[in-house]
Amino acid sequence: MAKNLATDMAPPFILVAHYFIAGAIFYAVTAFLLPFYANEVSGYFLSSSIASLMHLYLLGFVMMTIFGAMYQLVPVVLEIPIFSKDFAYIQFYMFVGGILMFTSGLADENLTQILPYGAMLMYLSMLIFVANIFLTYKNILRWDIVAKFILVSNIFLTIGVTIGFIIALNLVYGFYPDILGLVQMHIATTIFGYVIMTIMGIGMILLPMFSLSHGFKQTSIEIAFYTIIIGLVLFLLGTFLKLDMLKFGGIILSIVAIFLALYQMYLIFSTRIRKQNDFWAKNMMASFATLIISFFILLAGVLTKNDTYYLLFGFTLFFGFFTFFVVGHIYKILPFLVWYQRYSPLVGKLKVPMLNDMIHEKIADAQFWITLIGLLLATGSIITKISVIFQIGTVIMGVGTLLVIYNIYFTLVYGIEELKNYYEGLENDSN
Amino acid sequence: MSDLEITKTDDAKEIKVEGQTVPFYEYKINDTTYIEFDTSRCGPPEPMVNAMLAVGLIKDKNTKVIMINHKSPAGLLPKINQNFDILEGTTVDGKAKLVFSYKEGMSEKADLSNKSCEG
Repeated sequence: MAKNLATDMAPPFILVAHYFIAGAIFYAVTAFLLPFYANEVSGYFLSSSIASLMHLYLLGFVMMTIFGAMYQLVPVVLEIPIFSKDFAYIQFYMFVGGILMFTSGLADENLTQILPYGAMLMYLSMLIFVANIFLTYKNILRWDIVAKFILVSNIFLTIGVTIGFIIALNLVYGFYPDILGLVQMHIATTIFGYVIMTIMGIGMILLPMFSLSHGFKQTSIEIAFYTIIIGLVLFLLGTFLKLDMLKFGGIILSIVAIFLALYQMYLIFSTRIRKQNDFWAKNMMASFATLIISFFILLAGVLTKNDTYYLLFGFTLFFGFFTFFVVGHIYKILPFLVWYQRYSPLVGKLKVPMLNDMIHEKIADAQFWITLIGLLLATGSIITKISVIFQIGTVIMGVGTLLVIYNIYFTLVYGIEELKNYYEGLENDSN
Repeated sequence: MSDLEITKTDDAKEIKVEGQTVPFYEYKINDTTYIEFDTSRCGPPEPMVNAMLAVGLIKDKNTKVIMINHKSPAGLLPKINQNFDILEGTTVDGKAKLVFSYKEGMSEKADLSNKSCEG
């Protein structure tokens, strides 16, 4: 399972940077829109304005960053190049355009007419992504558990975005009555089938890589793989056929799978050689803690049928687990890619920085605590229904996003001036 | 005694190499000079960076490099196994131990400027 993040088969760094930079911008935009939703947190959680914000966050930040990471990681995992880099660039611009049109159409009634076009653009962009992945798999030589996770998660993504596209058309043209069922299937396939399965899979590469763990057993994640597939299929069938027992069984199996994956992550962490709790380790611990908490909240929601629990579940999962997991890995992956592009040819010729030098550690540390405090305040306000605390908490979270953007900028421009002088010096010497 | 059984001697001296991120130690056993470093607590790209710097010090058959790492450096080995003889083993505490030595007519041709890692 031990692999390195850089490979000659990986796409150019600039491609991955497109996705990471756009992801960080969408993250900040969402965070600063959140305070305006303070009055909605006590209302119905499936409103179109909340759906707009959630799509801006999940598509713009979470999935955008995952797509960028996948273009880097798929060649590492499969040991073959991605099928088409051009597809990846086309997908990026269509995806950004689609997100902006779609979320605007959802948020503003006067813009409803652009919603189907935004949905179509986004749908096509995601089909390009999955086609690119599936065509890459045609040349696969070696199957491991990560390759299986990525393949199946992309099958769920295809189903999920197809359902999403149908929902978007249904919102405008109203041809299918059971919109709630469709929404549930859409959430299950995209959030659990794609995002969480992808995190489970790539976590098996990234966590051992960054914590220097090896020699752990993988039985837990292998069982989790089949359990979550069965769970999601049962949930989809139960929702479609309106069989609550099947649905409930699917939820339970999916939760079991996630806890098995968490146990696997614990096994990885317990064998880690690098024990210090740097900004990455803190983010990982916070992400897994919020994931565990969110599922206890979900269970409370299922048992009590109280909508506040579902809202709380979504908030802690999206703004807790996803945020900490994604941001923690941006802090590792981005410096790695910049380092290889900028410094790998200079080892032995110049004193090169190490990866931690390429992140402003104090800012990263401050960002972690600020985000955590903001999240706790906003979560507390959903329970207490005090909207002003939600506003304060989300503004604090917004400050955290600016610090993430600062650190991305810090990494991207790291050493540029020094290297420019070095190369100019070489040029002058050769003249 | 196999080179894999060699351990750092008490009189090992620390040496400085431009760009190293962990201490390099040099010691002599019989006619062979060993340069040893330990990257077992380092994440990528440090093991590869230090290894490339260290094998650059192998100029003859009497100089060998010992690398201790938390795992076998899978990305490094294909890059330099044409140019250096490599022995692989483990330490008593389960870490990877590699011994790089001079390969007649090949070590001089090593391109140590390519530090990207594969797979």
